[in-house]
Amino acid sequence: MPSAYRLSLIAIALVVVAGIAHGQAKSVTSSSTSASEPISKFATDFDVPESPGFATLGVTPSKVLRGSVAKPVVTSLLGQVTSGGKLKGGAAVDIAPYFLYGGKVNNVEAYRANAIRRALANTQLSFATVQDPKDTASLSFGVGVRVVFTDAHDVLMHPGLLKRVDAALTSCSVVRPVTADEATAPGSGVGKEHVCAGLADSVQSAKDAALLFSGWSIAAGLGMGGFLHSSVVSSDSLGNRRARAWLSGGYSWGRHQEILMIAQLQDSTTVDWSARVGLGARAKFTDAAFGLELSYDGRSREFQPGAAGEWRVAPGVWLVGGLTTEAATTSGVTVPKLRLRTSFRWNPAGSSLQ
Amino acid sequence: MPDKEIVFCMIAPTSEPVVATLRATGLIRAAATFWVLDEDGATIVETWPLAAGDTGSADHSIARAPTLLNHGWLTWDIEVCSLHAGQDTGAVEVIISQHGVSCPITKAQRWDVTGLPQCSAGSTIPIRRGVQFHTL
Repeated sequence: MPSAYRLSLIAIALVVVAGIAHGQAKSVTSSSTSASEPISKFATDFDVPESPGFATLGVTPSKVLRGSVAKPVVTSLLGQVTSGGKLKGGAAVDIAPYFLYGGKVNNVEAYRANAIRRALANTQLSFATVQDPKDTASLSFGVGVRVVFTDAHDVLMHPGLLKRVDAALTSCSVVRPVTADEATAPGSGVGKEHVCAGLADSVQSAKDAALLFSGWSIAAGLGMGGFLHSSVVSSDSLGNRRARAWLSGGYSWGRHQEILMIAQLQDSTTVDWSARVGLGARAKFTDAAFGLELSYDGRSREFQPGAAGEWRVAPGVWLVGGLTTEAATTSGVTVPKLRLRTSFRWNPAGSSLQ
Repeated sequence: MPDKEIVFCMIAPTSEPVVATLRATGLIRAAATFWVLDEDGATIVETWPLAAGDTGSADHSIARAPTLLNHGWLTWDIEVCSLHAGQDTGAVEVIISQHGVSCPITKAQRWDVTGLPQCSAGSTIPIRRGVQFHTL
Protein backbone atom coordinates (compact mmCIF):
# COMPACT_ATOMS: atom_id res chain seq x y z
CA MET A 1 0.00 0.00 0.00
CA PRO A 2 1.49 3.42 -0.90
CA SER A 3 2.58 5.31 2.16
CA ALA A 4 0.50 8.36 1.31
CA TYR A 5 -2.61 6.21 1.35
CA ARG A 6 -1.51 4.57 4.55
CA LEU A 7 -1.01 7.93 6.21
CA SER A 8 -4.35 9.15 4.98
CA LEU A 9 -6.01 6.07 6.39
CA ILE A 10 -4.34 6.64 9.73
CA ALA A 11 -5.48 10.27 9.69
CA ILE A 12 -9.03 9.24 8.86
CA ALA A 13 -8.93 6.60 11.58
CA LEU A 14 -7.81 9.20 14.11
CA VAL A 15 -10.60 11.54 13.08
CA VAL A 16 -13.10 8.69 13.38
CA VAL A 17 -11.71 7.80 16.80
CA ALA A 18 -12.18 11.42 17.84
CA GLY A 19 -15.72 11.32 16.56
CA ILE A 20 -16.48 8.07 18.35
CA ALA A 21 -14.91 9.35 21.53
CA HIS A 22 -17.04 12.45 21.37
CA GLY A 23 -20.03 10.35 20.47
CA GLN A 24 -19.46 8.22 23.55
CA ALA A 25 -19.49 11.29 25.69
CA LYS A 26 -22.76 12.38 24.10
CA SER A 27 -24.34 8.97 23.60
CA VAL A 28 -27.04 9.63 26.13
CA THR A 29 -28.38 12.66 24.35
CA SER A 30 -30.66 10.67 22.06
CA SER A 31 -34.11 12.13 22.33
CA SER A 32 -33.09 15.33 24.00
CA THR A 33 -30.78 16.59 21.26
CA SER A 34 -32.57 18.58 18.67
CA ALA A 35 -31.93 18.06 15.00
CA SER A 36 -30.97 21.67 14.51
CA GLU A 37 -28.45 22.40 17.19
CA PRO A 38 -27.18 25.96 17.26
CA ILE A 39 -23.88 26.27 15.50
CA SER A 40 -22.36 27.91 18.56
CA LYS A 41 -22.52 24.51 20.22
CA PHE A 42 -19.59 23.49 18.09
CA ALA A 43 -17.64 26.72 18.40
CA THR A 44 -14.22 26.41 19.94
CA ASP A 45 -12.48 29.07 21.93
CA PHE A 46 -9.04 30.53 21.68
CA ASP A 47 -6.18 28.80 23.37
CA VAL A 48 -6.71 25.31 22.04
CA PRO A 49 -3.42 23.84 23.27
CA GLU A 50 -0.90 22.19 20.97
CA SER A 51 -1.11 18.42 20.66
CA PRO A 52 1.17 16.74 23.24
CA GLY A 53 1.79 13.98 20.67
CA PHE A 54 3.09 16.47 18.15
CA ALA A 55 5.07 18.18 20.93
CA THR A 56 6.73 14.86 21.68
CA LEU A 57 7.77 14.59 18.05
CA GLY A 58 8.86 18.23 18.00
CA VAL A 59 6.58 19.13 15.11
CA THR A 60 4.21 21.67 16.64
CA PRO A 61 3.91 24.86 14.56
CA SER A 62 5.09 26.81 17.64
CA LYS A 63 7.99 25.63 19.76
CA VAL A 64 6.93 27.72 22.73
CA LEU A 65 3.82 25.88 23.88
CA ARG A 66 0.76 27.09 25.72
CA GLY A 67 -0.38 26.29 29.22
CA SER A 68 -4.12 26.61 28.59
CA VAL A 69 -6.74 24.14 29.79
CA ALA A 70 -7.53 20.94 27.90
CA LYS A 71 -10.41 20.42 25.49
CA PRO A 72 -12.33 17.13 25.62
CA VAL A 73 -11.33 15.92 22.14
CA VAL A 74 -9.11 17.63 19.59
CA THR A 75 -7.97 16.27 16.25
CA SER A 76 -5.04 17.81 14.39
CA LEU A 77 -3.73 17.32 10.89
CA LEU A 78 -0.20 18.46 10.21
CA GLY A 79 1.56 19.54 7.05
CA GLN A 80 5.26 20.29 7.20
CA VAL A 81 7.64 21.68 4.62
CA THR A 82 11.37 22.12 5.11
CA SER A 83 13.32 24.43 2.85
CA GLY A 84 14.59 22.23 0.05
CA GLY A 85 12.63 19.27 1.35
CA LYS A 86 9.41 17.40 0.75
CA LEU A 87 6.00 17.93 2.23
CA LYS A 88 5.24 15.53 5.03
CA GLY A 89 2.00 15.02 6.83
CA GLY A 90 0.86 13.90 10.23
CA ALA A 91 -2.18 13.43 12.38
CA ALA A 92 -2.91 13.54 16.08
CA VAL A 93 -5.85 13.00 18.35
CA ASP A 94 -5.94 14.41 21.86
CA ILE A 95 -8.50 13.32 24.39
CA ALA A 96 -9.28 14.34 27.95
CA PRO A 97 -9.72 10.86 29.42
CA TYR A 98 -11.05 11.91 32.82
CA PHE A 99 -14.52 12.86 31.61
CA LEU A 100 -14.50 10.49 28.66
CA TYR A 101 -14.18 7.52 30.99
CA GLY A 102 -16.65 8.51 33.65
CA GLY A 103 -14.76 10.96 35.84
CA LYS A 104 -16.98 13.51 37.55
CA VAL A 105 -16.76 16.79 39.36
CA ASN A 106 -19.47 17.43 41.94
CA ASN A 107 -19.86 21.14 41.32
CA VAL A 108 -17.98 24.26 40.30
CA GLU A 109 -16.87 24.92 43.88
CA ALA A 110 -15.36 21.42 44.07
CA TYR A 111 -13.58 22.05 40.76
CA ARG A 112 -12.03 25.17 42.26
CA ALA A 113 -11.16 23.65 45.61
CA ASN A 114 -9.70 20.32 44.51
CA ALA A 115 -6.48 20.93 42.60
CA ILE A 116 -5.89 17.24 41.93
CA ARG A 117 -9.32 16.68 40.43
CA ARG A 118 -8.96 19.86 38.41
CA ALA A 119 -5.62 18.64 37.07
CA LEU A 120 -7.20 15.29 36.21
CA ALA A 121 -10.09 17.03 34.44
CA ASN A 122 -7.55 19.00 32.42
CA THR A 123 -5.25 16.12 31.53
CA GLN A 124 -4.85 15.34 27.85
CA LEU A 125 -3.69 12.08 26.35
CA SER A 126 -2.43 12.32 22.82
CA PHE A 127 -1.46 10.01 19.99
CA ALA A 128 0.31 11.36 16.94
CA THR A 129 1.96 10.05 13.80
CA VAL A 130 4.11 11.86 11.29
CA GLN A 131 5.25 10.62 7.92
CA ASP A 132 9.00 10.27 7.48
CA PRO A 133 10.25 12.48 4.62
CA LYS A 134 13.03 10.10 3.57
CA ASP A 135 11.35 6.77 4.07
CA THR A 136 7.74 7.44 3.18
CA ALA A 137 6.74 3.90 4.05
CA SER A 138 7.66 4.52 7.67
CA LEU A 139 6.13 6.62 10.41
CA SER A 140 7.24 8.51 13.47
CA PHE A 141 4.83 8.19 16.34
CA GLY A 142 4.42 10.05 19.59
CA VAL A 143 2.38 9.43 22.70
CA GLY A 144 2.09 12.35 25.08
CA VAL A 145 0.32 13.36 28.21
CA ARG A 146 -0.22 16.94 29.34
CA VAL A 147 -1.49 18.17 32.68
CA VAL A 148 -2.71 21.70 33.31
CA PHE A 149 -2.24 23.11 36.78
CA THR A 150 -3.76 26.53 36.40
CA ASP A 151 -5.24 28.80 33.76
CA ALA A 152 -6.30 32.34 34.57
CA HIS A 153 -8.81 32.24 31.71
CA ASP A 154 -10.63 29.17 32.98
CA VAL A 155 -14.11 30.58 33.54
CA LEU A 156 -14.91 27.93 36.14
CA MET A 157 -12.18 29.37 38.38
CA HIS A 158 -13.76 32.78 38.87
CA PRO A 159 -16.54 33.01 41.47
CA GLY A 160 -19.49 35.09 40.40
CA LEU A 161 -18.96 34.95 36.65
CA LEU A 162 -21.59 32.29 36.20
CA LYS A 163 -24.31 34.21 38.02
CA ARG A 164 -25.26 35.71 34.68
CA VAL A 165 -25.89 32.16 33.43
CA ASP A 166 -28.12 31.53 36.45
CA ALA A 167 -30.03 34.73 35.69
CA ALA A 168 -30.63 33.62 32.10
CA LEU A 169 -31.84 30.19 33.24
CA THR A 170 -34.14 31.75 35.80
CA SER A 171 -35.59 34.05 33.15
CA CYS A 172 -36.43 31.01 31.06
CA SER A 173 -38.09 29.23 33.96
CA VAL A 174 -40.36 32.07 34.95
CA VAL A 175 -42.12 32.29 31.59
CA ARG A 176 -44.93 29.81 32.30
CA PRO A 177 -45.95 28.91 35.87
CA VAL A 178 -46.30 25.22 36.66
CA THR A 179 -49.87 24.55 37.72
CA ALA A 180 -50.99 21.61 39.85
CA ASP A 181 -52.35 19.91 36.73
CA GLU A 182 -48.96 19.98 35.06
CA ALA A 183 -47.09 19.09 38.25
CA THR A 184 -49.13 15.92 38.63
CA ALA A 185 -49.14 14.84 35.00
CA PRO A 186 -47.84 11.30 34.42
CA GLY A 187 -44.15 11.05 33.70
CA SER A 188 -40.96 12.21 35.32
CA GLY A 189 -41.48 15.91 34.74
CA VAL A 190 -38.28 16.12 32.69
CA GLY A 191 -39.13 17.91 29.46
CA LYS A 192 -37.51 18.08 26.08
CA GLU A 193 -34.51 20.20 25.27
CA HIS A 194 -35.51 23.69 24.28
CA VAL A 195 -33.87 26.97 23.45
CA CYS A 196 -33.50 29.36 26.37
CA ALA A 197 -33.37 32.94 25.14
CA GLY A 198 -30.30 34.81 26.35
CA LEU A 199 -28.53 31.74 27.71
CA ALA A 200 -25.88 31.45 24.99
CA ASP A 201 -25.17 35.16 25.28
CA SER A 202 -24.80 34.89 29.04
CA VAL A 203 -22.24 32.09 28.66
CA GLN A 204 -20.35 34.07 26.05
CA SER A 205 -20.42 37.06 28.38
CA ALA A 206 -18.97 34.95 31.21
CA LYS A 207 -16.24 33.66 28.89
CA ASP A 208 -15.43 37.17 27.74
CA ALA A 209 -15.24 38.34 31.33
CA ALA A 210 -12.87 35.46 32.19
CA LEU A 211 -10.57 36.51 29.37
CA LEU A 212 -10.13 39.88 31.03
CA PHE A 213 -8.46 38.33 34.08
CA SER A 214 -4.72 38.62 34.22
CA GLY A 215 -2.74 35.63 35.42
CA TRP A 216 -0.79 32.52 34.72
CA SER A 217 -1.44 29.36 32.83
CA ILE A 218 0.90 26.47 33.58
CA ALA A 219 1.04 23.00 32.09
CA ALA A 220 3.48 20.10 32.14
CA GLY A 221 3.88 17.46 29.48
CA LEU A 222 5.65 14.18 29.01
CA GLY A 223 5.90 12.12 25.90
CA MET A 224 7.64 9.21 24.24
CA GLY A 225 7.91 8.34 20.61
CA GLY A 226 9.90 6.58 18.01
CA PHE A 227 10.19 5.51 14.45
CA LEU A 228 8.29 2.59 13.03
CA HIS A 229 10.07 1.06 10.05
CA SER A 230 7.57 0.18 7.34
CA SER A 231 4.86 1.36 9.74
CA VAL A 232 4.86 -2.05 11.40
CA VAL A 233 4.23 -2.09 15.13
CA SER A 234 6.78 -4.49 16.61
CA SER A 235 9.84 -4.22 18.82
CA ASP A 236 12.08 -5.08 15.85
CA SER A 237 10.75 -2.24 13.73
CA LEU A 238 10.98 0.38 16.47
CA GLY A 239 13.88 2.79 16.16
CA ASN A 240 15.08 6.25 17.06
CA ARG A 241 13.26 6.28 20.36
CA ARG A 242 12.82 9.68 21.88
CA ALA A 243 11.39 11.29 24.96
CA ARG A 244 10.43 14.81 25.92
CA ALA A 245 9.35 16.49 29.09
CA TRP A 246 8.30 20.08 29.25
CA LEU A 247 6.91 22.78 31.44
CA SER A 248 5.06 25.46 29.55
CA GLY A 249 3.18 28.48 30.70
CA GLY A 250 2.11 31.95 29.98
CA TYR A 251 1.06 35.15 31.62
CA SER A 252 -1.96 36.92 30.14
CA TRP A 253 -3.03 40.42 30.82
CA GLY A 254 -6.09 41.86 29.28
CA ARG A 255 -7.95 39.99 26.63
CA HIS A 256 -5.39 40.10 23.87
CA GLN A 257 -1.86 39.85 25.25
CA GLU A 258 0.08 36.88 26.47
CA ILE A 259 3.74 36.11 27.15
CA LEU A 260 4.61 32.44 26.76
CA MET A 261 7.56 30.45 28.03
CA ILE A 262 8.78 26.91 27.89
CA ALA A 263 11.51 24.74 29.39
CA GLN A 264 11.93 21.41 27.71
CA LEU A 265 14.19 18.37 28.05
CA GLN A 266 14.59 16.01 25.15
CA ASP A 267 16.37 12.75 24.67
CA SER A 268 16.79 10.34 21.78
CA THR A 269 18.76 7.23 20.95
CA THR A 270 21.15 9.31 18.85
CA VAL A 271 21.66 12.31 21.15
CA ASP A 272 21.74 12.48 24.93
CA TRP A 273 19.46 14.65 27.00
CA SER A 274 19.46 18.28 25.94
CA ALA A 275 17.44 21.30 26.93
CA ARG A 276 15.42 23.90 25.14
CA VAL A 277 14.14 27.12 26.62
CA GLY A 278 12.00 29.66 24.88
CA LEU A 279 10.00 32.82 25.19
CA GLY A 280 7.13 34.02 23.06
CA ALA A 281 4.54 36.73 22.82
CA ARG A 282 1.05 36.39 21.38
CA ALA A 283 -1.73 38.73 20.43
CA LYS A 284 -5.13 37.03 20.50
CA PHE A 285 -8.32 38.08 18.81
CA THR A 286 -11.69 36.43 18.38
CA ASP A 287 -10.90 34.72 15.10
CA ALA A 288 -7.12 34.94 14.93
CA ALA A 289 -3.94 34.94 16.98
CA PHE A 290 -0.42 35.95 16.07
CA GLY A 291 2.82 35.23 17.88
CA LEU A 292 6.56 35.64 17.81
CA GLU A 293 8.99 33.41 19.64
CA LEU A 294 12.65 32.85 20.31
CA SER A 295 14.01 29.61 21.69
CA TYR A 296 17.46 28.34 22.50
CA ASP A 297 18.13 24.78 21.45
CA GLY A 298 20.78 23.19 23.66
CA ARG A 299 21.37 20.39 21.17
CA SER A 300 22.43 22.63 18.27
CA ARG A 301 23.44 25.51 20.58
CA GLU A 302 21.42 27.87 18.43
CA PHE A 303 18.86 30.55 18.98
CA GLN A 304 15.87 29.76 16.81
CA PRO A 305 13.39 32.52 16.05
CA GLY A 306 9.89 31.77 14.86
CA ALA A 307 6.49 33.22 14.09
CA ALA A 308 3.04 31.67 14.17
CA GLY A 309 -0.48 32.60 13.22
CA GLU A 310 -3.87 30.99 13.86
CA TRP A 311 -7.12 31.62 12.07
CA ARG A 312 -10.59 30.32 12.80
CA VAL A 313 -11.67 29.02 9.41
CA ALA A 314 -14.94 27.37 10.49
CA PRO A 315 -16.74 26.82 13.77
CA GLY A 316 -14.44 24.63 15.83
CA VAL A 317 -11.70 24.55 13.19
CA TRP A 318 -8.48 26.52 13.35
CA LEU A 319 -5.76 26.77 10.74
CA VAL A 320 -2.38 27.15 12.41
CA GLY A 321 0.81 28.12 10.61
CA GLY A 322 4.29 28.36 12.10
CA LEU A 323 7.58 29.35 10.55
CA THR A 324 10.71 28.40 12.48
CA THR A 325 14.35 27.63 11.93
CA GLU A 326 15.74 24.30 12.98
CA ALA A 327 19.14 22.74 12.86
CA ALA A 328 19.42 20.00 10.25
CA THR A 329 22.44 17.79 9.70
CA THR A 330 23.25 17.01 6.08
CA SER A 331 26.42 15.12 5.14
CA GLY A 332 27.84 15.75 8.59
CA VAL A 333 27.28 19.49 8.42
CA THR A 334 24.70 21.11 10.68
CA VAL A 335 22.93 24.06 9.13
CA PRO A 336 19.84 26.00 10.13
CA LYS A 337 16.84 25.28 7.92
CA LEU A 338 13.61 27.15 7.59
CA ARG A 339 10.59 25.03 8.40
CA LEU A 340 6.94 25.80 7.73
CA ARG A 341 4.40 23.81 9.65
CA THR A 342 0.69 24.08 9.20
CA SER A 343 -1.97 22.37 11.20
CA PHE A 344 -5.74 22.09 11.19
CA ARG A 345 -7.10 21.76 14.69
CA TRP A 346 -10.63 20.49 15.07
CA ASN A 347 -12.29 20.64 18.44
CA PRO A 348 -15.63 18.88 17.85
CA ALA A 349 -16.92 19.27 21.36
CA GLY A 350 -16.14 22.98 21.32
CA SER A 351 -15.29 23.04 25.03
CA SER A 352 -17.54 25.94 25.59
CA LEU A 353 -16.30 27.25 28.84
CA GLN A 354 -12.59 26.77 28.44
CA MET B 1 -55.75 8.40 30.32
CA PRO B 2 -53.28 7.57 33.11
CA ASP B 3 -54.04 8.79 36.62
CA LYS B 4 -52.40 11.88 38.00
CA GLU B 5 -49.36 11.41 40.16
CA ILE B 6 -49.75 13.62 43.19
CA VAL B 7 -46.73 13.76 45.46
CA PHE B 8 -47.63 14.69 49.03
CA CYS B 9 -45.31 16.53 51.35
CA MET B 10 -46.09 16.46 55.06
CA ILE B 11 -45.36 19.56 57.08
CA ALA B 12 -45.88 20.50 60.69
CA PRO B 13 -48.37 23.30 61.41
CA THR B 14 -45.85 25.28 63.43
CA SER B 15 -44.35 28.72 63.09
CA GLU B 16 -41.13 27.26 61.66
CA PRO B 17 -41.06 28.13 57.96
CA VAL B 18 -40.93 25.52 55.26
CA VAL B 19 -37.67 25.65 53.32
CA ALA B 20 -37.23 24.64 49.68
CA THR B 21 -33.72 23.61 48.69
CA LEU B 22 -32.49 23.18 45.13
CA ARG B 23 -29.49 20.90 44.70
CA ALA B 24 -27.49 20.11 41.59
CA THR B 25 -24.59 17.67 41.35
CA GLY B 26 -22.07 17.75 38.54
CA LEU B 27 -20.55 20.43 36.32
CA ILE B 28 -24.06 21.48 35.43
CA ARG B 29 -26.05 24.63 35.96
CA ALA B 30 -29.53 24.48 37.46
CA ALA B 31 -31.71 27.49 38.18
CA ALA B 32 -35.43 27.59 38.83
CA THR B 33 -38.54 29.53 39.54
CA PHE B 34 -40.66 28.20 42.38
CA TRP B 35 -44.33 28.93 42.93
CA VAL B 36 -46.55 28.45 45.95
CA LEU B 37 -50.06 27.89 44.65
CA ASP B 38 -53.35 27.98 46.50
CA GLU B 39 -55.52 24.90 46.98
CA ASP B 40 -56.96 25.33 43.50
CA GLY B 41 -53.54 24.59 42.09
CA ALA B 42 -53.52 27.65 39.86
CA THR B 43 -53.59 30.85 41.94
CA ILE B 44 -50.08 32.08 42.62
CA VAL B 45 -49.52 32.95 46.26
CA GLU B 46 -45.77 33.38 46.23
CA THR B 47 -42.96 32.99 43.74
CA TRP B 48 -39.17 33.30 43.79
CA PRO B 49 -36.12 32.43 41.71
CA LEU B 50 -33.48 30.03 43.01
CA ALA B 51 -30.17 28.98 41.48
CA ALA B 52 -28.02 26.09 42.72
CA GLY B 53 -24.96 28.18 41.85
CA ASP B 54 -21.31 27.25 42.20
CA THR B 55 -21.82 25.22 45.38
CA GLY B 56 -24.64 23.22 43.83
CA SER B 57 -27.10 24.09 46.58
CA ALA B 58 -29.36 27.00 47.51
CA ASP B 59 -32.45 27.35 49.65
CA HIS B 60 -35.36 29.67 50.29
CA SER B 61 -37.79 29.95 53.17
CA ILE B 62 -41.42 30.08 52.14
CA ALA B 63 -42.96 33.25 53.54
CA ARG B 64 -46.45 31.83 53.97
CA ALA B 65 -47.07 30.28 57.37
CA PRO B 66 -47.10 26.45 57.33
CA THR B 67 -50.62 26.39 58.73
CA LEU B 68 -51.84 28.23 55.63
CA LEU B 69 -50.01 25.89 53.28
CA ASN B 70 -52.28 22.90 53.96
CA HIS B 71 -53.54 21.52 50.61
CA GLY B 72 -51.56 24.22 48.86
CA TRP B 73 -48.94 23.42 46.23
CA LEU B 74 -45.28 24.03 45.72
CA THR B 75 -44.33 23.78 42.04
CA TRP B 76 -41.16 24.54 40.14
CA ASP B 77 -39.59 24.82 36.74
CA ILE B 78 -35.88 23.97 36.94
CA GLU B 79 -33.84 24.71 33.84
CA VAL B 80 -30.69 22.59 33.55
CA CYS B 81 -27.73 22.63 31.18
CA SER B 82 -24.13 21.42 31.17
CA LEU B 83 -21.25 23.78 31.83
CA HIS B 84 -18.54 21.50 30.53
CA ALA B 85 -18.49 19.62 27.27
CA GLY B 86 -16.88 16.67 29.05
CA GLN B 87 -19.66 16.16 31.57
CA ASP B 88 -23.25 16.16 30.39
CA THR B 89 -24.78 14.24 33.26
CA GLY B 90 -25.72 15.14 36.79
CA ALA B 91 -28.44 15.02 39.40
CA VAL B 92 -31.01 17.61 40.37
CA GLU B 93 -33.01 17.47 43.56
CA VAL B 94 -35.62 19.51 45.40
CA ILE B 95 -35.64 18.99 49.15
CA ILE B 96 -38.40 20.42 51.31
CA SER B 97 -37.57 20.77 54.97
CA GLN B 98 -38.74 22.25 58.21
CA HIS B 99 -36.77 22.58 61.46
CA GLY B 100 -33.76 21.53 59.38
CA VAL B 101 -35.27 18.11 58.74
CA SER B 102 -36.52 16.88 55.39
CA CYS B 103 -40.29 16.66 55.31
CA PRO B 104 -41.79 13.22 54.75
CA ILE B 105 -42.62 12.98 51.09
CA THR B 106 -44.33 10.25 49.10
CA LYS B 107 -41.78 10.35 46.30
CA ALA B 108 -38.29 11.83 46.41
CA GLN B 109 -37.98 14.74 44.03
CA ARG B 110 -34.67 13.78 42.46
CA TRP B 111 -33.76 13.42 38.83
CA ASP B 112 -30.63 11.89 37.32
CA VAL B 113 -30.28 13.83 34.12
CA THR B 114 -28.24 12.64 31.16
CA GLY B 115 -27.46 14.05 27.75
CA LEU B 116 -27.71 17.61 28.96
CA PRO B 117 -27.23 20.27 26.30
CA GLN B 118 -24.33 22.68 26.62
CA CYS B 119 -25.27 25.98 28.25
CA SER B 120 -23.15 27.68 25.57
CA ALA B 121 -25.48 26.26 22.94
CA GLY B 122 -28.32 28.18 24.52
CA SER B 123 -30.45 25.12 25.24
CA THR B 124 -31.74 23.61 28.45
CA ILE B 125 -33.80 20.72 29.73
CA PRO B 126 -36.73 21.72 31.95
CA ILE B 127 -37.93 19.86 35.02
CA ARG B 128 -41.50 20.95 35.76
CA ARG B 129 -42.95 19.29 38.81
CA GLY B 130 -44.46 19.98 42.21
CA VAL B 131 -45.85 18.65 45.47
CA GLN B 132 -48.98 19.21 47.52
CA PHE B 133 -48.60 20.14 51.18
CA HIS B 134 -50.50 18.42 53.94
CA THR B 135 -50.16 19.40 57.54
CA LEU B 136 -49.69 16.63 60.06
